[in-house]
Amino acid sequence: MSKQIWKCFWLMAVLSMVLAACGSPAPAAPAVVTQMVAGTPMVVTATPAATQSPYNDNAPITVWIDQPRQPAMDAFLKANPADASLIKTVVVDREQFPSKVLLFNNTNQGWPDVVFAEPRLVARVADAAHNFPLDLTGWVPADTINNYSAESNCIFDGKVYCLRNDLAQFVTYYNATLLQQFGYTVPTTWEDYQALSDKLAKDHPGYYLGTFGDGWSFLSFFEASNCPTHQLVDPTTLNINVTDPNCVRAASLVDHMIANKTLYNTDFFNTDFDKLITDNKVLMFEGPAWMWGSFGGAAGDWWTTANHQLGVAAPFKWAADPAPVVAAMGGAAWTVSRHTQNPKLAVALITFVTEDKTLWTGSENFPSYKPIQPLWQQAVSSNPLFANDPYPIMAAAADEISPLDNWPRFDLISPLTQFTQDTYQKKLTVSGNLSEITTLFTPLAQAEGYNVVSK
Amino acid sequence: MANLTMHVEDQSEKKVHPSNSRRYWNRRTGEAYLFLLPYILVMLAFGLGPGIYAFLISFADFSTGIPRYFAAGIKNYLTVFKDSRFGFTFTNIGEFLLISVPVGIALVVLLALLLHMQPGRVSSTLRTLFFIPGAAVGPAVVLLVIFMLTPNVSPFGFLLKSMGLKAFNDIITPASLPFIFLIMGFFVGAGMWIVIQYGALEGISTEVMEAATMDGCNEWQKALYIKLPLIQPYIIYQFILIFAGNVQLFVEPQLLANQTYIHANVPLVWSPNQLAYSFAFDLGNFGASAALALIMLIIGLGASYLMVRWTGFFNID
Amino acid sequence: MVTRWFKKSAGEIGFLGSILRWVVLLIFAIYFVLPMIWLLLAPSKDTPQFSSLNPLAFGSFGQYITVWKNVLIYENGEVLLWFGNSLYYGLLSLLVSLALCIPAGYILAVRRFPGRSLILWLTLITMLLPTSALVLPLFMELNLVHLVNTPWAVILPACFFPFGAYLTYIYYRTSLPLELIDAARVDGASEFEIFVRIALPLAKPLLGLLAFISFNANWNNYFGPYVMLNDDKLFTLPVGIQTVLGSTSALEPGFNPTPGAIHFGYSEAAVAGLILIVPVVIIFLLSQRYVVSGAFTGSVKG
Repeated sequence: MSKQIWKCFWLMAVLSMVLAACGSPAPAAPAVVTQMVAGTPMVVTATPAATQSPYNDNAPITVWIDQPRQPAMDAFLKANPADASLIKTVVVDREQFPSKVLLFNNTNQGWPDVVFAEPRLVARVADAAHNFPLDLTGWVPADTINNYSAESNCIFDGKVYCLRNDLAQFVTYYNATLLQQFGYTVPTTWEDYQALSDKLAKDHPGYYLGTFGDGWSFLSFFEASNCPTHQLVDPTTLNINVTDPNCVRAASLVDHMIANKTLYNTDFFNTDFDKLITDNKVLMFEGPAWMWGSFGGAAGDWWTTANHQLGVAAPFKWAADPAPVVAAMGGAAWTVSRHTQNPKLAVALITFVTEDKTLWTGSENFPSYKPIQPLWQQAVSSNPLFANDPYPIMAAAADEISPLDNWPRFDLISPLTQFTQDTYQKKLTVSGNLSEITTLFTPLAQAEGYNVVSK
Repeated sequence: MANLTMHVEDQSEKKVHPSNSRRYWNRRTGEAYLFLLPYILVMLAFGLGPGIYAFLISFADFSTGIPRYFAAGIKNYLTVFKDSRFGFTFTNIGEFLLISVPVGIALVVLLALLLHMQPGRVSSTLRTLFFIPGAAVGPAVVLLVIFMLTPNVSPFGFLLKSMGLKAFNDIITPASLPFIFLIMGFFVGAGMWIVIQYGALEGISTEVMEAATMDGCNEWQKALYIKLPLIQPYIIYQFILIFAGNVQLFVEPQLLANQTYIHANVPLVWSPNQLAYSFAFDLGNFGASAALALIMLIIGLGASYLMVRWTGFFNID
Repeated sequence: MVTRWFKKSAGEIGFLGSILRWVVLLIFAIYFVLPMIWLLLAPSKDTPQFSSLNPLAFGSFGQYITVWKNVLIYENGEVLLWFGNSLYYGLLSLLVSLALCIPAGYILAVRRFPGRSLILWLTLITMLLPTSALVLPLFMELNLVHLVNTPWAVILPACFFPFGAYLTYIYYRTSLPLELIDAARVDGASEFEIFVRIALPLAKPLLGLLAFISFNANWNNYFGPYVMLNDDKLFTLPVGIQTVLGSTSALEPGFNPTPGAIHFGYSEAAVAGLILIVPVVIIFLLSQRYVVSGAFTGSVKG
């Protein structure tokens, strides 16, 4: 019996080592030119490289999407019926994507060719252990890449690892009916916002101007203040400095509003906060550009609201800042595997789904591809849900997204949720507890191999 | 504690088969192995084989993405011990074991005994009702967590509010986590063990019970002095599995840490098994993950070994 | 009267004791049952009603139908495919695993032979091995024989059922009198004959219980199928449903929603949960007859 065990082990060990010895083939280098791409000087090809071996224009590709992307895939297949037999679509939960890549790396096969995932997930698979994305610089013309807003999130160490699909810039959502009833105007600065909170607390207690209770709501205040809780100085160095004045001002604002009870204490989609919104007890809050889709009058919507009640205004700005800094909550992208055998088809797919007009006119998400944005406007601006035209505000905010939307390779939301909840549960002030963020982030950063600094 | 090897009747001291008879050995023992062979094959293929491979991986280096065997030496084990979450997770699991194992076993046995006192329709129905949550998995459990633990929408809201807990975020705190996991785990897992222990109780011969009644025992005395000792092997089995299973606690903390739909004060890695999972699937360090898994195995095994030796669990008369 | 409260005669539970017994059982009944009742009522409400209505209030019958339709819209009723997959994989592994583990547990309980203790320990060890350790090795092992992303990758590992072997071992050890076996051996019966003619018939309740536990474990298994399967047509129910939750706005408006995409909210998630639970409950009720029936009476003299 024990002999069987040893035979088994040796067989597996030998086979694994044989598999490990086979690497993936490297593409031949195309002609070299330097150009500015998405604000970074980069070495790009003048024209996309022609397919050469080991690539094969007739090789099948597997595409991993989420359920809402199915119409996009259907549209591509309809427009390119010849390719239909080559494309296999699989609906997945993309949070599992990085771990699946690791499994495939161990067996040297099985990777999907195209994946729909947020840039933060692409960041996770861009390190040495995952080594997943293909550098698109050889495959997509530089001019095209430049036409994507916030594409810098997809650029890692000079390599273009994904194409942005949509953006999630924060704007101010407000209850227009309620605002008019109370006789207020929408603030434009954080300072005015704080002053309004005092007025609201005095005149109408029990009404809210936002919520602070999880990682995303944390970012809505602190990322918008450019507070360096997770600043990527360079690909291997992370700056965590919560004593920065940008952090202090945001913390003091939040403390002030917690104290005067105009800030609720949960995440955006908590059932209690949901009820407040539906009961018209929330005057305004900062939310991402796609969040308007959660409002509606139908039974299936999350937050019931009447028509022409949802107002959209510019996100708040600190008076002292020269330009607004806008936080973001999501926004996804498309990435291609470096192991793919048919990059031409893969790239054709991702450029289509991010650029096609008909796809985007009905979407709830703000498209990243600039030429489409005005078309999206036509659909959104006529939606009876809104009290005013949201498009100009969202478009302006799209260009002001904070560089802090470039995430490091570890999850930020869970530790930040812990931070906000700990602050409440231990009855501390946010300003007084900021160091907990450093305590929570530092070991996570170091485990990922970052050099952690504080400056 | 006396040797608790268990059999209903004790008349089998007379052994008919001398175990040193060669002829007997060839035929009987050969047949015995035949009973075991298919089972042993799958055990090797899907239990021991992967287990041994995991042991080997714990010495492999994964920094390039693919395993380089024996390249890491004991580095993976050091990585595990030096990780800042190591102490945190093991303290957590220690606290959890301290409350969950005694409480879990005691309550299951208590409920099985109570049910068995008066077998019948009601007992049978209750047993089924206790069992049903065991089938809840995935989305059902997520929904239940969100809605049972939010006082404003929970059927238990009245109870929660009377304890001063007004919101979901009041209930989920770092200190309360072991209890929350106990409540969740017991909800899903107790039913099966109650059924097993009840089945064990059903297996006690009626003669024994009748004899006890004739001796003047009431139901409570029967439960305590007769039934309980007689199902001891099953209780030991439960202890072993619950202890080892709880050392490997994963599903409940992973569920609460999922920031997609639950926003609570729960770290992404709370239990050692989550740490092992994190090593494997966040950092790609399968070697460290295997090392940590083996540490958990040794702990579970250690407790089992002690229990087995102490009670003579593996002896047959 | 007072003594009647405290002193219980033979075979009696007593008045006070009875009350105590009922209170405890009732408390736990509420603990186990109330959430499940809530779950049953959940698909009758639409999303806002989850907050606005009383927790145990009923929404509307029509909502059940709407919700079920929504669940079926996902990938053209893929939920039913997953249901079928789970059934198929589960039943197949159930049959094989029982056929393997019951004889093993039996022989470990009634015979002494070299290596017996070793096998008991090895079974225990493999039962205690954390799944996180086995994931990669199993994946690579099955990949070697090209079975990854096929149903066999789920069925085969499930054929190893050490829990069943152990439970069988305990069951036979505690309720099978060795003298029966010895008598049969003296009569010249082979081990196999003894097993089939004597031991197996006595194990009906065990069979029922094991079949049920095996089916339940396989039905609910998430991790194994998740790792082994990439093709959503092969998914089992737990993996498929988790994908739905993770790839739609089921439990929270996820990022990047799309209007016209299917609506998947709390009620749909509740239905998904119920689809997972109901078959198990039905099988449990069916196997109740075998699990509960008089385990073992009359074959042993007092």
